[in-house]
Amino acid sequence: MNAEERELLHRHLNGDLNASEQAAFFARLQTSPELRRELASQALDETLLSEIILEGRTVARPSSRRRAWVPVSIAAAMLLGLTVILALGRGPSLVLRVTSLEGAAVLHRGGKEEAMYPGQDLRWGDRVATTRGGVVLERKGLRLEIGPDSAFEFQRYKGVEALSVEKGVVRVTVSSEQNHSFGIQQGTLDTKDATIRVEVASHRTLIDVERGSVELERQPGVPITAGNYASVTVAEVEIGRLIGRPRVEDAVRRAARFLESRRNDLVTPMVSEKRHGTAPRRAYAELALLALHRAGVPDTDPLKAELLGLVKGRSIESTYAAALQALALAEIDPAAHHGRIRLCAQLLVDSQCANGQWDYAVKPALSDDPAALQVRRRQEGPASGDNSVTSYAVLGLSACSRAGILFDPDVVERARRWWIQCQNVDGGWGYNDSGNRNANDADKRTLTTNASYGSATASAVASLAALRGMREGDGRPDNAILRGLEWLGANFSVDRNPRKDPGFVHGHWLLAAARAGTILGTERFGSHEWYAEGADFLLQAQQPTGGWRLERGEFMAPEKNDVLDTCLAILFLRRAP
Amino acid sequence: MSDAAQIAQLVVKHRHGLLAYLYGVLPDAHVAEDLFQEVCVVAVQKAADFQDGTNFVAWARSIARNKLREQLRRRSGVVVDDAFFDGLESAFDAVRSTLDPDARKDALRHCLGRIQDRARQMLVWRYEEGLSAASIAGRTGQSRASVNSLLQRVREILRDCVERRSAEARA
Repeated sequence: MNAEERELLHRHLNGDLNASEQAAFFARLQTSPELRRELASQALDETLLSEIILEGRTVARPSSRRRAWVPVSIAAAMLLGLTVILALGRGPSLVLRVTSLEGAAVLHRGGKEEAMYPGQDLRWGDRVATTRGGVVLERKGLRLEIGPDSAFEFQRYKGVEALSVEKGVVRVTVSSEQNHSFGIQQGTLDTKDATIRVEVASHRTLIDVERGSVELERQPGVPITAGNYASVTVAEVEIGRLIGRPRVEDAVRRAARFLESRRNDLVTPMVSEKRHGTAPRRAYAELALLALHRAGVPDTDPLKAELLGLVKGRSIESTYAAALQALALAEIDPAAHHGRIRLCAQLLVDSQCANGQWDYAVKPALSDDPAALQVRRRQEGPASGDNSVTSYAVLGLSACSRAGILFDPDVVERARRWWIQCQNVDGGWGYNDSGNRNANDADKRTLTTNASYGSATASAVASLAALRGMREGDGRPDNAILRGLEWLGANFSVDRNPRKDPGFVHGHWLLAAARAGTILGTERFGSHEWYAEGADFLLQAQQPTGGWRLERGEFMAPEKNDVLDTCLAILFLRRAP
Repeated sequence: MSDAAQIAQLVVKHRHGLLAYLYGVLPDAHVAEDLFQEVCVVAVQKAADFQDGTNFVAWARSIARNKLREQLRRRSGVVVDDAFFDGLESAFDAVRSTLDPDARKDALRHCLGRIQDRARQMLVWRYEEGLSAASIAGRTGQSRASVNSLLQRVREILRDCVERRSAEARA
């Protein structure tokens, strides 16, 4: 292939050839096998690059109008291959109507945004985005309950219609009269006479089958029946046992009431009695705010409002407080609390230790230019910290990142390097107090050790997964994560923190496991279904008060163990990242 | 003879190969997407014509040929014959037999993370917005020639990176 042909090929790929040049290029193609091969090879790369770029866009900007390229095409084709659904033109009874509306939902129609209202009829081509509350849509034989923060598109392609779920949650009740197929990012599912709940995240879709059954087009002949769920990613479909949502809802509601009964404990700052001096290190108010929010407690609730005012009004002195505050505010309203989240990010960035860990106390932030694109490191933190607080700092930074705050990539890199350096040879992680990696303390089952144990390993895996999410565009396979997952699979248990005595940092272990599983989008550690097993355990262990008391050691403040454990349990039951 | 669900599965299995073929002739991500959808729909409609055990990709491409011909005629008045498609399809088969699209995609994703923001932005404009070199030039104030040469350079860098990575993976 000569230089001229090469140039023609690239201009062809750039859409830069006019009609006569195009004809000339095709003529060259006919005479040059080498040019044909080059085109074929380049065209495959271009197709893959397009997919990568469009996927990245879907993940980074979930509100964008255009979805990933291939799944839409597949969905359209699949729908034709299955029993036809929601056919247009069968008369007024098939109109899809808004029958209930909670909060505000936005309807994108014909390039314009409109507010939705009950009684409104939807048209195919409409796109619906909900914010705080849900929407119920109904037509004969079909009921769609769309959750908060969801986005859906009603598509039509050559007479075939599809509900395309971009993000969020939809609960679908299908009557026995018709089959329905639903396009999800990873393909389609087909159902009749069933109630299912479909939850879409950027990289996977969770389908809970409450009644009836569904079939995935990728696994024909293998229906997922009532009482089970399927977690679907591009690469695999995991099927497992469903924990009934009503039981979880009830447990979470009772837990929230328990927290409300312990207001005084939540609003009083705790003082550290450890080596780290007198910094307030237990950020109960932030943790409780996050737990209440995840429990679905509305912003108008007096305790939630009080906690929100409290955490935003006080100075942030500890890493836990900065991290948990960022996590809570980024979920409650990232736009409204942007300034405060940015402050948390600055504190965390400025307090990172030289070795990549974090310690308990944060350094007072040196203010950065609030209009600067990136939060920059303005000072160095202490020499070293410990892995537990480090894992919280990373989750906090990850929340800041989700809230749209950019920061110095070196912070992410330094943290990642630390986690990789301190991984034990068995694939697990320990505590590494003061960065110490040499203590030979495997037999201490009631203390933090450098020998691997459950909460430390799950925290490390969750951290590495969160850090990977912050390094956009880097698909490097993460051996450290895979080895950590193997350790978790081999050692998993819900009745204790693996490799520790019962009651030692038990709630933290369960939550760390949930974080690792959720961030990585996996339902299993080895043969263990972490959510089903953990939720079963927690539902049984809930006390008549609505709270939990899992911690038996003196490691945590004993008089407040139940408050802390209850927050952790709520977050677990909500699959907290 | 085959049923629609089987065809749908085959379409999923061979999507990269089919998309690449369409893209090779009409290099616009959105046009290729639309054509791919049309090919899928026709394939499903004609499922009964497909004989199990025969070459599905060749069968699907025969549908694609008609779509491509129609598009080429409409867009640029270019007319191509069967010999053109035959030659092209052998080349695509040869590439398909030596590359694993999933592994290639992972490698590309990795390599894409290493290129400069300015170059990545060009790719985003080209693939996400479907802008031609001329439109990108209009947006950046550069000449068409320099956009063309930058895009060519980016492709070469990506290919080097991917191939180095594949060689490392084999070693």
